[in-house]
Amino acid sequence: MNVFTAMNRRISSLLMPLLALTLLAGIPLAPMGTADARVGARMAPFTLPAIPGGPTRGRMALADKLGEDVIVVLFWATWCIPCRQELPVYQELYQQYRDQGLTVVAISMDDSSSLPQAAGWARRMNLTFPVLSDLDTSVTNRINPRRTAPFSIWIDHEGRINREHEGFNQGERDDIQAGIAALIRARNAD
Amino acid sequence: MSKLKMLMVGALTLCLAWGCDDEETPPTPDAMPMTDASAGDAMSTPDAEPEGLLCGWSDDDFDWGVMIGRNMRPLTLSRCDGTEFSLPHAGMCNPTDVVDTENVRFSVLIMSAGWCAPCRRESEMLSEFLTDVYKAHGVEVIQVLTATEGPDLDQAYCDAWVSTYDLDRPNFAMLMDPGNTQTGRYFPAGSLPANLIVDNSGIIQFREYGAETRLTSVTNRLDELLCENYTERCGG
Amino acid sequence: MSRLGVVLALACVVTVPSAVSAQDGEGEGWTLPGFGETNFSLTSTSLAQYRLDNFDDNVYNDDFFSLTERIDLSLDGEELSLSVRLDGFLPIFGESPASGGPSVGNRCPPGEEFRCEIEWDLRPERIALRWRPENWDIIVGDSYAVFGRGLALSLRKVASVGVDTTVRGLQVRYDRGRFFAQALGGYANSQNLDPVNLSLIEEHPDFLFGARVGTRLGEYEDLEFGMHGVHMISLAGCEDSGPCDFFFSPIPDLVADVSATTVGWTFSAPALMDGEMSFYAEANMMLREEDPLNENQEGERYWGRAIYSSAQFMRGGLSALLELKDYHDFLLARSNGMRAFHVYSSSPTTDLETEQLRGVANARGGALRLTYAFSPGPWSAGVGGIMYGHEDEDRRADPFEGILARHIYAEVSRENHAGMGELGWAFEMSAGYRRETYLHDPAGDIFNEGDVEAEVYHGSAELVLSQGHHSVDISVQNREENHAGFITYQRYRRGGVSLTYSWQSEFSISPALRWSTERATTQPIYYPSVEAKWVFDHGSHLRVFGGRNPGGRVCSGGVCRDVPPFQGVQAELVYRL
Repeated sequence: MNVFTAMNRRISSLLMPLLALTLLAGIPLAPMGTADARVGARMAPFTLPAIPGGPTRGRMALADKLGEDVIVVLFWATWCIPCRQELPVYQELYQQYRDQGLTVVAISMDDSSSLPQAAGWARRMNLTFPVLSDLDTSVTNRINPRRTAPFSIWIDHEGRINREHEGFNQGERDDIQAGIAALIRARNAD
Repeated sequence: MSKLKMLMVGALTLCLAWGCDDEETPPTPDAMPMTDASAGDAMSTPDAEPEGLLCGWSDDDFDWGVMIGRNMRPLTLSRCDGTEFSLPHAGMCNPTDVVDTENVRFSVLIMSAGWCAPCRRESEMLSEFLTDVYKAHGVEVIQVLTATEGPDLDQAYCDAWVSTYDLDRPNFAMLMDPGNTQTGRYFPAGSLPANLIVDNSGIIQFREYGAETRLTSVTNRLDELLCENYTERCGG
Repeated sequence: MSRLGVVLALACVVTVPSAVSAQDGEGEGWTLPGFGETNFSLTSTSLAQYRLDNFDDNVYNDDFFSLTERIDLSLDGEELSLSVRLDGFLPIFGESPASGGPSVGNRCPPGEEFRCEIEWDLRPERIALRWRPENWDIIVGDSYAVFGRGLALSLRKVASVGVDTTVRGLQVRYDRGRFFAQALGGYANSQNLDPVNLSLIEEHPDFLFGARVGTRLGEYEDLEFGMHGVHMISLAGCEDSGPCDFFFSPIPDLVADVSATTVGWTFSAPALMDGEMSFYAEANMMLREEDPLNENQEGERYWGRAIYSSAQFMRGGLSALLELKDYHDFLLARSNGMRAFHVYSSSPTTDLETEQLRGVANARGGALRLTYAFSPGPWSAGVGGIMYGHEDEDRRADPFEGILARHIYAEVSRENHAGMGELGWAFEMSAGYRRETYLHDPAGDIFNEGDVEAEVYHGSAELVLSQGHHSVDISVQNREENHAGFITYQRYRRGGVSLTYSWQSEFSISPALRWSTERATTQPIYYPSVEAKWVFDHGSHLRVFGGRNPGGRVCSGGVCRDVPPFQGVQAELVYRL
């Protein structure tokens, strides 16, 4: 084993207590965060380009809509069949609520070899909201590190994550409809 | 809620601080880098007469192994025509001739298979870049066929290999080891091509597997080994 | 003591988060100096595995229990964020002849330690501090980067083959819309704990430096033109003293110091003609210098190029995709067999995802794919043709002096979306034929120019049925392959059938049967297995697998790995906090 590996082990044995101490130090300073997985946390913004031939053009910066609209982020890929069932459901909701402050954004996890087909699928599903690509996987690694598909994130009008959900089933349509309607109502009530 | 979080973080700190402070590390294979071949020097001086090292001695007398610096376990395999060939030559009770046994300084074992495309490509280069180049320096080249792509590994297949790649040379031997019984220990299953260099008393001086190197690493190491003892190869 | 400590540490990490129950709560973060309002998140991925056999003739890496733990910690502030990933691995073997009791690692007899390559490990695999003031993105530590379509530089995660490489150092990005710039420098940090073989890959950092600048034009700022440069240094040997020795050990089969400099440009117009056409082009030139350690050998310089272009037309239901590639002697880092972890680029292959990588560094040709969606209506059909020459053994030879690859395929799909209570279904089917023939006379008298070098027939079908909360997914694939060996062809078949039942998105169970006759003499032919998955709230899930998996050659994202077969039981728990 080389020096580097031994060094790594020394670093890790120093780092962990240090990190834990940092976290411990942070506890008395502020109200406690929730134990839920990122629900309630602020959504980190990202900027990604639209897929070639997709429904929109140019780059989309989530920061433009954070704190204003109710946002839905959908991770999908051309090889994922349930994704192709989920996206049309949100397309309906988008058409219904876009004037009331709903933003929907789909991120394709396809790599450069299957990305060209994403536009074809977007057309067949008649999507009108932005469909973006993440070729260097940096955004996906942060927000959906296990690259599950489909994966949906709901963000409320204050920019906080309201729901994260893996998978899609037709039986969930009513829940999705009700949930989004509630978020829109909350936004427009303010 | 806050109590739970503190408990979790506290447990994390305690556990990992206690668990991680031990520096003891188990031995790793191949911890010895390439240039440490001098570990074998004591037994491989070219002037030492290879007399009866293995003949009549027992297993416990030797440091057997597959790693650099260890003695290779003696092996006996068939050539294409069925005659036996043994390695290492020195000290075997019935040594078989390839080059004059006393003048073999290093044996290069090239382990191959019919289904392994890089092995076939390297075989095309064997005569020109290995066998012929090092013939005058006491290097013999032994290729071992461990499997085919489907047909039986028999004399016809073996002979076809030799003639296809033009391998019939005085310092070359073609052997068969169907099922990897005696050579399988030197490489993980499927990681061919695999190459080995042993000196005349059986100490392993080089081992590689799993990568198509086009014989560059083997010839590189041979040059180093020959340089240690013979300056004419190194130009001074 | 150390082993007990590691066991305890991992056990604590696995069980303590589970003891904390998820609760609803207001989303409030902490306030930390420098970070501002901060959110903390921890994701623990624990994989407990009992490997019975991996069918590789090595009994010393069979029949053991292992725990793999990965912890992703992140502190996300307003502009600043810190993320750390810890990888830990603990194997626990049965009785070892030497110690007579449970042992961690190494139970091989002396001299055969090479067969016991499985050992424990704990390391901070990824550390990154990220600062994002307006228009800037600065990362100190580990970061990913892809220039264009990846021909010059592609550092990212390809989970299916267990390859995950970042650059560890500094990366700075500036993006103001019409103008962008990016620079990075550091060494390549590949994931050291190989999830496929459970072995440790030693750190052998290759140094990487890259820069990219560009401009975006047009009303939507989507017409993009960029220029980039990449410089890679890979050191084979080390002097006895100095920084080289401190950082890494030499890899025995690297016999030369290599440096490669690549410069290129990219042009992207994703929406021309009112969105009906998209166009992409990229060209790169590379100078590669190899300086052998052996002073008797001469160094070499190679000039290479890599040009790729794609155009897509869409009108009505018809979509046509044309791709062209011209790669010649273009190799950034060699990847073969064991060295899949040192691949820093991924040239688009123009092949189907299921195929082996061929001609990665030396190929010329293209592919055309036509898809038609019958609209209105649920049907869509597509056909495609691929043709290119490749010659990877001698990268300086012209690709059309090597092997000619031709591939045709067709696919059809139908979807039927249904409302609540009705039966919805989706069906996809595809089939194809691939043929590769020699364009030269291979060595020996056995095969000649024009003979088949490889031939594949492949087909697959998938049917998804869903109604209410239930859904069933049946999928079948099969490949008949024929590859030129030495005297004759090696024929084998690989495929599988699986049936997955899911209830909502909370539970799924999937029995499967796979088959492979590729190594019929040493490995089984049939591979039955069952996998079940429970998804809890908030991104946590438990996945259990039992049975056999054939593994095989998996190629994805420019990298191929030989995934070994597996027989045993696995349980994976992902918990987010």
